[in-house]
Amino acid sequence: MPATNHTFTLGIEEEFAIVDPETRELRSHIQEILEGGKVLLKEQIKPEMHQSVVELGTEICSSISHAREHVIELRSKLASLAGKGGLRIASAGTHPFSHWRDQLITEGERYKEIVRDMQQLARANLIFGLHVHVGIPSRESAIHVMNQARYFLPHIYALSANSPFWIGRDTGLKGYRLKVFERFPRTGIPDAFESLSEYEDFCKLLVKTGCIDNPKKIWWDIRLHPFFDTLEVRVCDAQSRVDDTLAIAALIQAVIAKLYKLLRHNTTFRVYRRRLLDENRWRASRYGIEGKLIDFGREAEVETRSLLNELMAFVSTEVEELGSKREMEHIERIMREGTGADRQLAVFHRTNDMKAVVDQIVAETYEGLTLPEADAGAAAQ
Amino acid sequence: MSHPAHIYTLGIEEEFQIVDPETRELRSHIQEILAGGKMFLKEHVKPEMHQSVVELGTEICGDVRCARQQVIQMRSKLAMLAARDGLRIASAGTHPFSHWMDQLITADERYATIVQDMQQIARANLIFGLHVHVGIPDREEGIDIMNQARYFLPHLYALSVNSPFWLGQNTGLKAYRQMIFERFPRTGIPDAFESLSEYEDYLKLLVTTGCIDNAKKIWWDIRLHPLFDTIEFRICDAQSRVDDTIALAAIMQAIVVKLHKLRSENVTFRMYPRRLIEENRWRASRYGLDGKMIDFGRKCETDERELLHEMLEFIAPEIDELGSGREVAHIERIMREGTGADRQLAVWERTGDIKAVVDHLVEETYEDLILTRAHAA
Repeated sequence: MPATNHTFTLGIEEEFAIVDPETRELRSHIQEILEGGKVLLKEQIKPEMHQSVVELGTEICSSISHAREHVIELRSKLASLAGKGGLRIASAGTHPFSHWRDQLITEGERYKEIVRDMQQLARANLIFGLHVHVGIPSRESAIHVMNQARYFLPHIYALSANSPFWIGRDTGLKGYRLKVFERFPRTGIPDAFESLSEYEDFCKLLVKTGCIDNPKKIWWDIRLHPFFDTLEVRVCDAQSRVDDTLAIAALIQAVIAKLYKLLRHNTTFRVYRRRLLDENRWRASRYGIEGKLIDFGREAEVETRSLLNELMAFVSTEVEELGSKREMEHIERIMREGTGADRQLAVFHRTNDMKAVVDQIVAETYEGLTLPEADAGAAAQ
Repeated sequence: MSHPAHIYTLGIEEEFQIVDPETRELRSHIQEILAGGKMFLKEHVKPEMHQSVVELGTEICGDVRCARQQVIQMRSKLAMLAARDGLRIASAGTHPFSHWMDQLITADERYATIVQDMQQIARANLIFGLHVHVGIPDREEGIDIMNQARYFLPHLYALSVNSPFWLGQNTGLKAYRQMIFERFPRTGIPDAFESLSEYEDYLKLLVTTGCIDNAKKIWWDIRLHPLFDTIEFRICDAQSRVDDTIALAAIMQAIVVKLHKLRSENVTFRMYPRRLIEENRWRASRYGLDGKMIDFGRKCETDERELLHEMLEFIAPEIDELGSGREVAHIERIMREGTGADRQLAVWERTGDIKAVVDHLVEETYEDLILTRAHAA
């Protein structure tokens, strides 16, 4: 492939919950973390609107193994910083029971404005996502890859579902985070665009008519990043284990590599309308990998697991090329043992105790981290 | 205009809250209402998923005056049935504070399936809407009218906003009902369809693939009704006063007539993608009448009141022809004095008492009803 170095590079952003190991509630602790993080994490750590949320973003990574090192390093540093305050980090799409009303909002004109604009929708938006950036050198091509990649978002989401609880209730859904977020405008699966200019005209019109001040306020499940030449897949719930994050990032990377290759061979995955893709998105949110999704080519319902196996076969060449076989094996483990949501629900059914669910999320979040003994011991408690 | 009698007929469906005048909470009371209503209201009364919700639907009405009579008659009967057990009816997009967790679900295979399927999304769907049906000449044209009418939905919604409170909180939005409902699939503003057959193929595909068992599970803000030859406007919050309901229905009817007329003159309203119309829909839900909406033709933000005046001008000849000038004049009053949401918020700001908001809703819901003296008290 005549690709520049930038092609298919990875960037991974994860949003973490800061929790109190005694109460298991969220703790509004970002100020202290930022204070300590200036030295340790530099510009790779960012506050979010709620002070109990921390975002970590890797550098641009040339390969999945490079990304893995980074994610482990960042998570480990964050865990140490939280440990200093006697706190823990936890990664899942929602906190099982903490209420958004009890969270402090980060100071700053930007967040004030969002709250003024979005009101309760903003204050209640206490959710945690995994965002994966994949480099594509040409924005023209990237729009067409985005159009095609929309098809796979529900499949990828099904694997990542990790938010069955909301404000202390079992919602009956595997991924409730999407339901919280989709109250915002400009969310969900985007329409397909004819061309880069159609997309850019859309952005310009929204800015001109005061809907947004810049295209970063487009929060679709997938987007062409406004500044970087990357496609950003934003649909996934935050993943508890490092292995889960990397497996999903690797799958996203391979799908994008595959679709880019199709374009260069003058073919394209079929582009379906949002109203059809939304049916699968709903099923993924409701059932995770336990349900059926629609195969629109065959016009039939098919077990999600079977479609995921097909998807992995579809991208197997790219997986080889990108060196992410280990990550694909972990996807098979998720399919065998369950998604984060399935694991949360299993603990809840076994213990009937939401606090035990938090403990499990914390334990999974620390899996594979490299911590000084003191911190590691504390996490294991 | 020469057309069969069915065209431009009106049908109005309203969803009501049954409230306890002491606690002001919702009361799961539909079984008693249905038992009593068999005689009075016959097939015009329907249960909903939550037992504290009652739906009333008019017959097919030839014009807006007939619809008004029917709405008054049915509201009055329902109010009397509720009064027998010391209860009241109230009409608004949400109840200000009652929690969905406390509501009983109507015992019925159909609702059990919905709850099984949709889980918390269904149980939490404790909202109240106004649905208006307008008769269309044929389904081909119906799709065309639906495509064009999408543009007007946020403006209709801005006039109808009536759900600022949810579970006892002031949400900061004028209409929170949309935010609850759009967690369901197949809601919001639909895409435009090329033709009736494209729409029908879409329905068939959803049925084939087990997404829906029938087309009634498409819950868009506007839809071509699966069984009747009507366009159904479903976007509006339930309206407290009879006058509010009727004024909105009159405008919807006039829009359909207008678009039909344009078509016969070979003109069409411009069709915009859903992603643009949704920007206005969000603004309507957030600000009601008090914000700005985008005029996509002029590509600029404009005060919503100004755009509504333009809309009323646009359909003025049709309002004349349909003889609904008096009903539509009420829109001017809404624009002057505020929407249902504005009035709810005013009571709350004055009293700091969310129970007073319920009293206010009940009072508005009973305006113009014909009650015996005992029931009026």
